[in-house]
Amino acid sequence: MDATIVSILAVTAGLTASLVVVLAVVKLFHREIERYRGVRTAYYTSAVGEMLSRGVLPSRPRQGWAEDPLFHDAVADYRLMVTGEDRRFVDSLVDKLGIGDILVTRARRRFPRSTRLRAVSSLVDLATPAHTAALQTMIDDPNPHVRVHAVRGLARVGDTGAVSHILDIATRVKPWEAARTADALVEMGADAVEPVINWVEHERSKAFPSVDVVALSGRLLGLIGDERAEPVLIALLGSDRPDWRVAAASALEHAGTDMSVEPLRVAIHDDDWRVRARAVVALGAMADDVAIEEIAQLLTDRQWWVRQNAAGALTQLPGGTDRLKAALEGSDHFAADAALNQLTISGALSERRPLPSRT
Amino acid sequence: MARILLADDSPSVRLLVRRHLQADGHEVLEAEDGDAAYALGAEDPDLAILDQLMPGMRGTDVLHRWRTEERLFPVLLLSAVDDEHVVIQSLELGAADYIRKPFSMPELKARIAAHLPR
Repeated sequence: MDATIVSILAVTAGLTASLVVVLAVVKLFHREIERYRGVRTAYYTSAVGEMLSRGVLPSRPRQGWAEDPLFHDAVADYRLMVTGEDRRFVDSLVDKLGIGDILVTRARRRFPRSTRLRAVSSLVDLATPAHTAALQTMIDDPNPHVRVHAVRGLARVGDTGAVSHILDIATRVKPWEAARTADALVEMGADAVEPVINWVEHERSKAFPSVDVVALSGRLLGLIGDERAEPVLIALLGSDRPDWRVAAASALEHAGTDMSVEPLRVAIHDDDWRVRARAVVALGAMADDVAIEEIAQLLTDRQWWVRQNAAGALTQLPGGTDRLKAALEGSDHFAADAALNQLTISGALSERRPLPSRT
Repeated sequence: MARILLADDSPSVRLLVRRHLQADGHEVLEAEDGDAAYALGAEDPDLAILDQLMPGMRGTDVLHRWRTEERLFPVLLLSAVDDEHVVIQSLELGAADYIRKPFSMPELKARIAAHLPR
């Protein structure tokens, strides 16, 4: 029995020692790889920086550089840092080394998933209009991450012609991908506004429109913040779909003008509290003191967010702070709570005061 | 020419800006984080370029401490942060200028030249 235990202990000790040695070797090996990566990264950063600051492309570029993802990172780092002539220089370096073509090849389906994602991610940072066709192919890829990266790439190169197809795809994918797709289009900026409006109008005319993607498109128009989107956003605000009204109310904060004031004055009485909460913020951002009383009425809304947003909106309007101070002294505990919070946040009260006792 | 303090955690930004400034004959002091930048302020440079988001102190924190100590050399904030609040805060703290990344190197050099003591 003792001999058996001794044998087991010896074997266990041997295995443990072997494992420790293996782990140490792996750790050492990993550290060396990381060190080598650091050296290469520093070398590439220095080399590209020298080329850029001197404005001289290498006469005989080393092909090994163009194949190395760390070199792609270094080039992307500079490309995202500079504009104008310097960016054009970086683009000419990418062209000369054929980096775009290498990345497009590596993004093909025969490569492992990690290689593909690394390649398409770098392509997003380095893409020029010359890569538009390749990126357009990728938005139909079976891999959702490739599709999202491809949309980012198309947004960066400003391919407005792809917007409609991208939004169509968004109607068939999972919500997370649709949201990331819509957000990626923000980078296209004002150029995306007309195609997105056209897509929304077309979708609204269908018997069974995609509720989620129309709402995401409304949000997208708000993030871009272009006044051309105002009519379609007002139309969404007046729809019978709560998600569209919520998105439109949010977006009008950034894309609305005087034309939106009246629809928003209606929206602050919406049955859906999410619409009321967003509409009151938008109204506060664009209305004058005419809307003060209507907004002040929301201080007694049954939803906490609506009350807080109404109080926040009042801090933006001339005379609104006085209205909040009046609410602070009033008998409605909920209105006083919202007023106290927002007056404190806005700095109109030097310090927090206790709420009046609940009656 | 001038002594310019350049603080940015990105080696690419430091290298590119340094090369351009040195080509124009300036002396460049480099820092890769906010604490090192703050310490180099004691060298009393003619101008400082501060990245807003750095390890340690942020650009506006460094600027605030310098101004508190009455170090009044011109400071340019350089940042990828496109936040109106940060721009206003940095100008209120006494930054001479706020430059957004990505930036144009000729524009950066022109702004530096405009703020250097003549």
